[in-house]
Amino acid sequence: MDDADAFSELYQREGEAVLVFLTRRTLDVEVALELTAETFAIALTSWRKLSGLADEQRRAWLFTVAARRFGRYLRRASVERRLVARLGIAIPCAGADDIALIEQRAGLGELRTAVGRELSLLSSEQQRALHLRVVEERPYDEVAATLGVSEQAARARVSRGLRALARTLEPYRAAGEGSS
Amino acid sequence: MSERIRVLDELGIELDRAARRRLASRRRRVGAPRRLSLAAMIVVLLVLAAAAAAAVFISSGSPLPAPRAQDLESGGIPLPSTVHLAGLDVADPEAGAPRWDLRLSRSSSGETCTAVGQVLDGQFGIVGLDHVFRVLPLGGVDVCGFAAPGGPVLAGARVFSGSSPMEARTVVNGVAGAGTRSVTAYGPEGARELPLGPDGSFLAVYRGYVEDIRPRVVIVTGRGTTRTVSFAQSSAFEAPDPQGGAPWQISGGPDIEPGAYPDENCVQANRVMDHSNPFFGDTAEAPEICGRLATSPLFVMMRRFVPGDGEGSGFPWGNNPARTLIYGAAAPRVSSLTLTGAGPARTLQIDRRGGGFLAVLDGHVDPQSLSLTAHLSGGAVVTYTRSANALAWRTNQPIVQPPVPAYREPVPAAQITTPSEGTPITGTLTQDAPVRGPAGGQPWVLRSWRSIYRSSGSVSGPGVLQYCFQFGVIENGALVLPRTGAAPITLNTPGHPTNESNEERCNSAQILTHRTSQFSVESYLADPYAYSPTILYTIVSGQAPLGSTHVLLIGAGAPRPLAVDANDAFLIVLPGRYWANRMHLAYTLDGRTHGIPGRGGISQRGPGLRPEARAPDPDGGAPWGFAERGSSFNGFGRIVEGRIAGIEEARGTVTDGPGNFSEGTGLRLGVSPQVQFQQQPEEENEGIAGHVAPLTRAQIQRRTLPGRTIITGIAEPDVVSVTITTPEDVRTLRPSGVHHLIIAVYAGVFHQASPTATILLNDGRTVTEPILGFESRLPSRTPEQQLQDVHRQQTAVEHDPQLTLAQRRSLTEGLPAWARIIRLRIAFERSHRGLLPVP
Repeated sequence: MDDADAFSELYQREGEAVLVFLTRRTLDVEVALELTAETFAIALTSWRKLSGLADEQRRAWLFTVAARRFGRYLRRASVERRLVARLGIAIPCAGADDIALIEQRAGLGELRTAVGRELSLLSSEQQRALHLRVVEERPYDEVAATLGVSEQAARARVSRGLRALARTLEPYRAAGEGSS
Repeated sequence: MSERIRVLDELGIELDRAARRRLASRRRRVGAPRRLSLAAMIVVLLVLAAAAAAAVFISSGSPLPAPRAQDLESGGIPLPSTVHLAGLDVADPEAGAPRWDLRLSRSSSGETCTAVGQVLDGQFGIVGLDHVFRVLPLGGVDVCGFAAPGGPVLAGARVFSGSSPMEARTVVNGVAGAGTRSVTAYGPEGARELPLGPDGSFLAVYRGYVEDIRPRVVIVTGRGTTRTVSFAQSSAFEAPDPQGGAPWQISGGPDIEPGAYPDENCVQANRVMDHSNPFFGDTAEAPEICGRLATSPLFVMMRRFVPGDGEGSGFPWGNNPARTLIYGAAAPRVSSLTLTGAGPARTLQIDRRGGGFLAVLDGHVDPQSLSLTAHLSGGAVVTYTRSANALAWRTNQPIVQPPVPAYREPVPAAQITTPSEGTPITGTLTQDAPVRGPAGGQPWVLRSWRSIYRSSGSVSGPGVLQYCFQFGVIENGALVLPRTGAAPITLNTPGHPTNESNEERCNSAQILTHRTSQFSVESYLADPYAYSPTILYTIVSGQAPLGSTHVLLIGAGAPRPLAVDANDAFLIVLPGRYWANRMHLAYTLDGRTHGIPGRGGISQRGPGLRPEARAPDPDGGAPWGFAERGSSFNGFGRIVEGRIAGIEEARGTVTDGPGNFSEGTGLRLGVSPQVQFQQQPEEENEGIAGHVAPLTRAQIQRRTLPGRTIITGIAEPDVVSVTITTPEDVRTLRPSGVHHLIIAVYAGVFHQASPTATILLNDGRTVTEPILGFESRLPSRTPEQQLQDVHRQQTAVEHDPQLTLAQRRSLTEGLPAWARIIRLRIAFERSHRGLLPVP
């Protein structure tokens, strides 16, 4: 097996895991796909180092780079493609089927369903309070005034609702970590 | 079998093509621009100052600020009433410079604490690069630790930067414990028996960086036992560079690749990373070569390497100075090697572990003028005047020696450019009216355009439509990006290749459809180096979903209408207090109003992440924090207003949320580590490529090294404490927070020796683990150990319930053949004992 084969094998082995890892964090398949491409482009340009590493180290290296790319994306609101461009890699477009499949692998659908289910389990007052506070970003005094309750009661509704949602999300986060 | 993701396969094809071009072709291309080394950075800054100050005159400045107690281990805070100088009074190598001493103290929990500094007029401090003496605060640079059975309480090698490598100082210091008989320090000048202070304290000062000195101390305890502590020692077999600076190393061992002969070994030579050669991507590498050591006494490569060599081979020389290398491996029956033809004859050392040998000569030396003479143990002599017996790595085919290339110099960094994100489509480039912040200050200007992105080498095809923007302030009629303590960066007209960052932010139309917005929230600081930086104003910039109207920014006070330009870009300047707000866009698209939470902005970073473990910044800036939220959001960064944030000092900005992520994927050995460690270097000035970072205030005042090393750890509940030993010092930390986290931050980057951790468990046992870094290499393994690795991998894959059958097959298909090759090697070694080098 030559270097190019070994690199392709690394991609075959870890490509989906990296894509899922990034999709779970960006919540956006296209962004995750471009970050995945740049991550592997970095791996390719660093191959002389990677080729000397054990599998576990290679994997750790790859995910560290992916996490760094993600952090940089958050800071700049754009996906860097410097090495993708330099290496002449064309990033393919994800079709609707691809997006659905990747979201499924990343568990985004389950995540949405779970959040929706948990939201539906909340009382209508809690749902309304969460909407005003989280979606509309209203201050608590406005939330309280709109709901016709005290500010303390408004805070309690939002807090309880958020805790319930957080409990729902936790197993999915854990599962995502395990698969990545 | 699970359904395949088509787009992932298509990307795989693209990457495979790129891999074949890059790893298989011989196309020559120079490497990336080399960034200035620490020494060069300092020289740049100090040349003028040095010219102005012909005579060294030391003045006194304000005391350096102390770190806050809340950032230190509660038990490791020195008690002021216990502070005293050890009185070691060691002279600096430069006559007239203040002498060095060790400050000793005790912590409330009984630890011994030390700090290294200079004494001037009875005060304990440090002379900065600006020749100003400043008093060192208690706790600022102190390291605390408990007495360890059989070893010193504390031992470290503090490095203080200088205006040149020889002006840097490595201060070996420690506390060996009461009753210590002697401490001997070994450095470039040989052995020095050190005078001992209270509690067996000792100190030795050397010129240069620790990687150059590689000191060690030998301690003879009161019981007569001997303990050796080495700093920045490398287990690699090394050879000096003819121009000085970072040495070269040769590494290798048995070849257990498919098709290898059972008596085949391989070696590879490369330059070691250190302060003068700090970035892995720039390191010169010579090709890995192999040879059969049962049929030949040695194999050798004698070759001149010039800038641009090896591109596409997997072993690029990069844009490094030309060198002539003689390297290979010798069987144990070779008793000595002599190289002639380049000055006086010289003996080449042979690494008895692996058989490697290496000599590095100036690139002007013609390899055809050299002779390598091997003296065999039976008395025979063999002389080589060219590369011999060498096989190519992987293919195992004889290497055909290429013609000797003409000597050439590296390409000047200024002449190396990187591609732009694409030339603007005619008529799309716009520059919006300046936007002034609510608190005044310079108005900010947004520039945006559309372009067709094509990967390099591709001139045909439709390309990808992308939307780009950049922003800055206007100075002297040009758009520039302000920087902290340095001249602003001119943002060039888009489309021009440059050797500097152009701060272009581009997203493909594909990303900006599907009702997706991309925006970032960056806030500018009055002083990014301050412990509690003041946030001046917040810039929200980005791109609205394509074709959207009535765009509102939600989450920063009342909804704010955004002026979106012809390329769907926007920029708004807000008061600083909104820096950590969770924001999103609301907009109208296709007649419907949307108000989904921001998908491309800050919502994913875990706003409000509060630190569970904290550590002081070595430069006295905002402290560092590490937090875990659930199982998937581990992050570390600076602590600003009680939250974990990312500070980019060179840009003078802060963003909410961790600047780095520690996802639990850290490198680790051991089957089930008690602590999941991760070590990451934090390079300076990331994000403003091509620009040399100016020295920071702390680097001038405290003489700290640029960059930082951050070690994080997630401990099991039964971990009581973790003692981290680095080339710089020894620190004992206790896990904190509900997730049992630790964080330690060091000035500079550990280029050579990997830190180790001694973990104390609550049943009294201790476990020692290496803390491997992002760039660390695993130690070489014997064939027997590698066979165990193969079996372990096979078992792990077979028992992993998350793998599909296809994945399992793919991961294990090569393992039986690999195991067979290793067994052949083991059998050969056992039946031909002494014929091959010991790995």
